[in-house]
Amino acid sequence: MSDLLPLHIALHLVPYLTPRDIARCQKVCRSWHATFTCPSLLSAALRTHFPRAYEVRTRAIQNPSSFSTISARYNALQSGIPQQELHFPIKKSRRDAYIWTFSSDLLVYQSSHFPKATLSLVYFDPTPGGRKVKTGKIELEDLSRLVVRLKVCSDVLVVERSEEVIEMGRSRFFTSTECYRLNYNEDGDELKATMMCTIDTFEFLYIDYSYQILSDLSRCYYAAYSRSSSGGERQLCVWDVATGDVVKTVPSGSLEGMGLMVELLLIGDKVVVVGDDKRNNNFRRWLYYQGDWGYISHFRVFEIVNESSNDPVGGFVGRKKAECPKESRISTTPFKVSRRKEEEEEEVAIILWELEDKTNNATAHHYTLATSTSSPSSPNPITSPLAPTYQYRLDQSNDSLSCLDTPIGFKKTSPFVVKSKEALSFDMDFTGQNEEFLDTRLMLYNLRIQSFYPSADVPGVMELDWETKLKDRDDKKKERKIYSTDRNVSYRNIHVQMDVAGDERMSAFLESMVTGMELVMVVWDQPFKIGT
Amino acid sequence: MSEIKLLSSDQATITVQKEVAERSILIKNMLEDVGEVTEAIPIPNVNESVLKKVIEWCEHHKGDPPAQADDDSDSRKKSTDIDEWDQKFMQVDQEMLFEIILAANYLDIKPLLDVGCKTVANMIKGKSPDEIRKTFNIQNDFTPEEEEQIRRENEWAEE
Repeated sequence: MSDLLPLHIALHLVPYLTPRDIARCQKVCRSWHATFTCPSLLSAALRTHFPRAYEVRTRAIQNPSSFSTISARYNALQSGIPQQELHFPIKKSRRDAYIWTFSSDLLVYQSSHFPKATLSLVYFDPTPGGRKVKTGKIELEDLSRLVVRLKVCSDVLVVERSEEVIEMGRSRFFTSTECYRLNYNEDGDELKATMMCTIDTFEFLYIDYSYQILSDLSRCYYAAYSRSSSGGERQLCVWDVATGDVVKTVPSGSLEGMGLMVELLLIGDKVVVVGDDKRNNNFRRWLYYQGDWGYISHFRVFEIVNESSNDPVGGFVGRKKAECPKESRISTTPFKVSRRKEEEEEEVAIILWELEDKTNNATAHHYTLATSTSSPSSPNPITSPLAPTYQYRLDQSNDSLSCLDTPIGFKKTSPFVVKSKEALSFDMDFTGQNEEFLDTRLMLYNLRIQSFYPSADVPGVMELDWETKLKDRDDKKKERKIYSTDRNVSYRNIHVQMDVAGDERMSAFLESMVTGMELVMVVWDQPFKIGT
Repeated sequence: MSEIKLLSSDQATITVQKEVAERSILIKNMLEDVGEVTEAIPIPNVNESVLKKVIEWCEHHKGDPPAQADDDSDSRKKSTDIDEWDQKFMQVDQEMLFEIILAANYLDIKPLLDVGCKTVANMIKGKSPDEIRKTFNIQNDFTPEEEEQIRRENEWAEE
């Protein structure tokens, strides 16, 4: 028999078999095992079934362990049952917020506010074989400076804080940012953080606008923007994280005509600002604007160190009036995917999300802002549109599923954003009203995972491949109900922002438990070793 | 309609319409290179019964539009749906099935190779290793230690 299944024929079987079928074929007999564990067959299987898994994209495949690692990960994602789940208790700050971030494999959260302000650090060391957790703590000085936000990039952590000073009955607010360097490489299970500098950023009169500050962090720079600052001209500034020195100030004139600024992103030695002029999330407004474009989101790119003569450059992404059906809802999300060790470049992208009200078809138009935007070829770069790199399509016209509270014939689509390169989207999906949440005034969410696969017909289009929801801890057949972090909110029209951070390897979110709020880390990859 | 002769590995001569034989890219390219041939074209890897079966398939599919040259198609997931005629055609013993696949591969008849692979894939899909062994009449030649080792490597695929 075995000689009847030579490798070159087995290779032809790969597109028709699932990864699970291939794993079973390995168990049949010695000769099938040899055939179905052959590196060329396994890498073909990975390319076929998981074309956007990060090991496949970055060609970091190590056979044959990559096949079982990646298959096991996607098996967990597809079933909604993580391989490991970790919980970290977290408390609300005085400003009614949970302070946490998860990025570059590091989870940072404020675990105590009074009498000590403590940040807890949890590093998930992804080194194959090792896969262990290192922890650390930072005791913050000066309790009157409240923590507003945390950001991590590689081995740099910044803590954004705000302090109220009352002088002659007037409230003044001073914001500052502390920069820490993290040492991951030291032996032992402890993670150490060393403070490098404190940057004084903005000041505000009467009202604390620190929540509205846009900021971003790279390994070298910290950038922040505030439109409400009472400090005069200084709106957008870039600092050196090691020294705290100002390395770039962007004059406010360079930011004119961008509409409302919605995001600030650092990539390499450039800073990118993204605006949104809200011409249309509603076609009625198109009347007031001339031209073909119904929806526009501007971006500008500034060089941080070497100021060039055509600084800034930029452009816009948008939807033409003729292209989008009138009854569309459109929103925009700019984002950055931070660099992993294996990858060459960071990615900055703007996503336009569009829902057709009539058909419920949804599309996410994915515009990659390549660094080539710094060498414009068009005569007027600021006003030239960018072409989309990908479109993620969700065709729901044939979907018979509808939500409990929606009238028959109306299907509900929540925005989905593939906020990474993996073609996976993680969203907190508002489930609509039900008895449970009417009692508690808490809203109910599911953690929804959607996977997209390149379309067979249209290049550049990704179609929905599968969709799943995180399962209940006790009953693996049920979807897990996740309550909103805020109560006493109106359940009509307002969706509380529920964040999921992370990627295809692990995801973090807040979950309300009987004992209080906890940060939950669900690990899709192999479990981590915890403690001793 | 011009006809050509094919010579199977067991020295049988089969006459076939040129149009039908050209479903095989190998024969098509050969005819293009050589031009007019009067002698039988030797097909050294395929015996008479298999060659007849392959020709039967080519006869039925001679009107099909030529397959798209798609470099990407090998690295995509595919459906294992097979049309009715092909399903009946593939109802042969396993030895013949694999002979057809090997012949299709050798003669470069992509659509027939696809049908053959879909048929084999359907015999594997969703089955446990034991069921696969039964289907293909294979002996389990692993030692218990080896079996345990493989099971641990692919724990995710356990039911």
